[in-house]
Amino acid sequence: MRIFDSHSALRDLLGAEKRWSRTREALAAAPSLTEGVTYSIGDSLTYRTGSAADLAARELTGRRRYLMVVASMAGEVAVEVARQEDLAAVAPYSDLTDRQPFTGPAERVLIPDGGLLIVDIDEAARILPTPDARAVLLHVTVEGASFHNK
Amino acid sequence: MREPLDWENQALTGRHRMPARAYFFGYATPELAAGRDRTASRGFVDLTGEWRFRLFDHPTRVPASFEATEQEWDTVVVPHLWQLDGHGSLQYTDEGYPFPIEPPHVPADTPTGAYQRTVRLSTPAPGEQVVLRLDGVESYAEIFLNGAFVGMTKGSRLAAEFDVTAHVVDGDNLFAIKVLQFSDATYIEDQDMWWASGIFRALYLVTRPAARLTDFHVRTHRVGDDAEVTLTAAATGATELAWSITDGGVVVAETRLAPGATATVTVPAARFWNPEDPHLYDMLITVVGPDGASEYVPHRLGLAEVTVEDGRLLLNGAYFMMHGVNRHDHDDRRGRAVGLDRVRRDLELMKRHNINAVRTAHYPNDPRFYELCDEIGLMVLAETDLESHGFANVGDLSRITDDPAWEAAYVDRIERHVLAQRNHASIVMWSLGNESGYGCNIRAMYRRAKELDPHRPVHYEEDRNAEVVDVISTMYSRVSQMNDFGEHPHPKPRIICEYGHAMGNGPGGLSEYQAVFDRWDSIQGHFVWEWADHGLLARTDEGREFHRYGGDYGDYPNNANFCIDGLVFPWQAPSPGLIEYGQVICPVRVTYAGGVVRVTNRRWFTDLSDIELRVDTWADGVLTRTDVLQVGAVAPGETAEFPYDLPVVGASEAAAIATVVTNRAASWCEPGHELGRYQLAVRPSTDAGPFPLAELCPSPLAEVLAAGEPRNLGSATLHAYPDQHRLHVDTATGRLTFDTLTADLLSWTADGRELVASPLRVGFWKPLVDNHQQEADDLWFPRHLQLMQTSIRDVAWREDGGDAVVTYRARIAPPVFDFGCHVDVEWRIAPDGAATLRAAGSPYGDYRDIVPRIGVTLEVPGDLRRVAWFGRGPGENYPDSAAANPIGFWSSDVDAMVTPYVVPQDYGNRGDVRWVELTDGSGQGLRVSRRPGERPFHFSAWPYTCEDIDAARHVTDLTPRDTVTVNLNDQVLGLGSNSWGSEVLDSYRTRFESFSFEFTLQPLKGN
Repeated sequence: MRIFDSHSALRDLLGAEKRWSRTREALAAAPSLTEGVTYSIGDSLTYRTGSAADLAARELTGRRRYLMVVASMAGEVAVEVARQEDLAAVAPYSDLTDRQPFTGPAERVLIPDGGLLIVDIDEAARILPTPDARAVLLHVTVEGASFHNK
Repeated sequence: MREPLDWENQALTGRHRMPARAYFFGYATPELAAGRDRTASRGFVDLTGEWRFRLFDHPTRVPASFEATEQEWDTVVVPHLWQLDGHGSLQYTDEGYPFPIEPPHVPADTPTGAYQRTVRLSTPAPGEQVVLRLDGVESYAEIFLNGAFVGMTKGSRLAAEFDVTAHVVDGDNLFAIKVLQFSDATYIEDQDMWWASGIFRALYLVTRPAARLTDFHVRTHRVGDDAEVTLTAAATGATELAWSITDGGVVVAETRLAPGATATVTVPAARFWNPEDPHLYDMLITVVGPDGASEYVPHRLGLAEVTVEDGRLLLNGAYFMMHGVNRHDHDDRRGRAVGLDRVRRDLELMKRHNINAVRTAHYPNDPRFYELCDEIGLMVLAETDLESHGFANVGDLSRITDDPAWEAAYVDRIERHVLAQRNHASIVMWSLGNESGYGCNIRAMYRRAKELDPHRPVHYEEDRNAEVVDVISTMYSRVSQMNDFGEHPHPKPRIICEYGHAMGNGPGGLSEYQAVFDRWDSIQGHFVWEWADHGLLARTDEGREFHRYGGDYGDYPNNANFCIDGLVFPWQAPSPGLIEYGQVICPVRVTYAGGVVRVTNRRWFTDLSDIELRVDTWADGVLTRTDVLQVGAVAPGETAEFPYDLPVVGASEAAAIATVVTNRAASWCEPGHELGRYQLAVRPSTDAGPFPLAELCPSPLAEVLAAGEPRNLGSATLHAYPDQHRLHVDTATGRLTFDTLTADLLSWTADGRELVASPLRVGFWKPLVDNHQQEADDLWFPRHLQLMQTSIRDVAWREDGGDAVVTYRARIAPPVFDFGCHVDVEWRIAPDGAATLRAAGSPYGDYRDIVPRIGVTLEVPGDLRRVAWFGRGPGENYPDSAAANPIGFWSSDVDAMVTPYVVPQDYGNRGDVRWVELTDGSGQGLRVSRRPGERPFHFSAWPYTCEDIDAARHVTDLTPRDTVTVNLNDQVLGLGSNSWGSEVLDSYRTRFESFSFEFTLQPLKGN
């Protein structure tokens, strides 16, 4: 898990890799898009905006091909995060959703107002229904600098 | 300031070109009209055929005399692309412009073709109009008749008409057409295809009477079971228009209207058009002039209405999903100058593989294409001729798309397209183009499309968030991304206009895509990229045929075989990818459980009264029973159940397969055509208990070398003979000889014949497929995985329970690096001659990513070509591309199992295999199996080696060997479609991690 204090810190720390430049592009576009609708930028990412309550999930979710990224648009966003190896799988991984539900103890972290959280691929996480917080939930490819993204 | 050249002036889209209009012909009588043979229409003069031609290296080098004087030039047959007739040079790029970007300028010395043809004509009667029509010229054409300038056109794949009435003379008429390969229009015609030019579609003259129809627009609106049909018709010189709609010769609606007027009629109890029942009515417009009826204009009318309600596309009020493909025009001899027979076969192949929609990527087709789609039942995503993809190379894809200076050029393209095709029932939506970025000109195109056809939805993928278009679209979104879209849908309907990049072997993962598409009703269309390979036929000096691609003509830059990316081979035969796709979208789904066959209708409009199920049951390799189930009138979306007991009592191995067939003929199939196959049940041989890998504890090598006499191993039929660096093991059926230094199985003789031609080796590499090129470039080649070296140590043998056991440890690793795999291998030879190979691998070092396979390879003598197996078949299949090949008892031979991919690559895998036999003509050979209860394996058998295939760039680089390479794989990496698209899904990834497997090889006695 990596937490950034601001969206712009993404550029400083992760460079110009296409998936992260597209993440910044998505974050810039997010405020003007319809809440609750999934949008995409190529095969690099999908993203959706909403209140933390709308984006909250009941289960910790692990992913294998698309990283869960949460960016605060307003307020502090609470997220639970844990390493998958410390959790119990509730169901098998699905290629259809790139998701695997887990259960078990998790660490509660706060994404600062305007900040951003990257959940590592060996972790599982869920957004908590933090009152008054708004966020962008992104699924960003694990593919790094070398693979093409369309 | 110098006036811009016409071909470098994007604001000028043509000169003297007539306004676009619907594609139709006028006939002298109702009977001729009923025949709809355009060559029998009034004044039709076919101008295809021989033309005089010369290619110039500069537009201004074409002599002025060319316009009025016959030249002694070469002859070409039009339609054609001149590069395919030996003039000029071919080049293939995906999106890169073949010249420096400087819009609207193109090379000053753009290649220029000059055409001439003399035609005998008569001057038209007063009031008549002679129209010259060109259906496709790339990219810029100036037309002259008898020395007079007729006009100019751009828009390579948009029809252009010119009024040549004033220039026609009695007797010989000289048509001269100057064609420039590049023009400003080229900047928006940068589709992924060969750079080639010429008059590549039909051109002809028609003579229109003084009282003539000039255009019409007919549209349908469903009201209950009836259809309200509205016609707007424009005419000149006419006093009245009579309009009728007939069905099977019976008039169902008729009326009269004034020229320029609009009329609506009702077709009661209408039979609406849909892709499953593409019913067409006969419509006739009779043009009445001062002297009576002057012409009869027929039209095949499909009653179809597309609407969007609550974010869903509806056809005639019913939900539907488009199972589509992207189709370029391509013929392996003629390029884009495709004949109509080829087009028809393309469409029939689509229908035969359950495809119900086609995207005209990325330009309008010959006008007859849409008529064929109306007739055969294919929904069309009708795209216009627009792509400016090359600007992506300078990081500014939208440069001219968002430049108002180009608006006229952009709008011209959608206007001409919509006006020409809007009467076709098959067109479910318009598409503004492809991969051109986004900007003001897209918005202007959308507005114009809606003015001309307010009712049909408009699509354009790069309006990414559907700011203006009616349907939101993406391309190459991954499976899970599509699921994200489905879970949280956009208010507008969604399609994926390109996915499943079918380059070479693949695509894989179509079943998972389809599962997501089927799950969410907001996803209403999916179009595989693409329909056909763009290979061009060539021959070696010896006359062997092969197909060329980018770079094969010395063209540079090029995108090599990126154009060999279709579901159909260049010779118009289905690839395994098409067969897989056809199964994945099969309109009838069949499952079996608890003694009940369940049949689900996945169509949208019609029931299953034309469908039968043939259930074949095999027991121990013998077809024991075939039953035919009549499915009956199962409504769309409904499921019917049929109690059915599978008759496999007593068999140790059995399989049951249901084949879905239609009992009704269509224009594209005969009765009995197979729509798909489903596995009902499989019973592998009786499960046994677990079979743990024996402890691999080799005997000291010295013990082996010291033993010089035959040793009876406690069996009357098994003896081992160490001999220098050899170990011979005699069994009841023959002798196996191992090299005691390398552990290679050097020879295996049984019943008097040799069974191996080269030693068996554990390996991770197999011939690279196009869909793994990115993995190879980024993961494998930098680590030299294709060059892994095997080093054998600790070779030993011993007796164990009456068996001879040979063991060794292999280190399999690439040069340069410090990672690899230690593999402990055991050969266990039983007295009856069965030899079981067990391998257990433990990778070391830091590489744990994916590898192409984990398995073994050996060569057998070339006469062991007959192949029988119990596993997936009959066709090739891979872990993520297996839907079309159920498990059964199959047989073939090594030559018939070759899949001749244009660029040779891995092929022929058969998965979920329980056993495979390779035999000669007498039935003698080798059987490979696994113990009951073990997981099934993969095999492939080639007349080439892996190295042969990897080294080949064309099929003619391959020469069959006198051996057969047999691959026995424990794991095979899925295909994915990452030549441009989806990586291999997680569940189908073969990782470089610990493994263990076994195979048992047994000699077969033969007849």
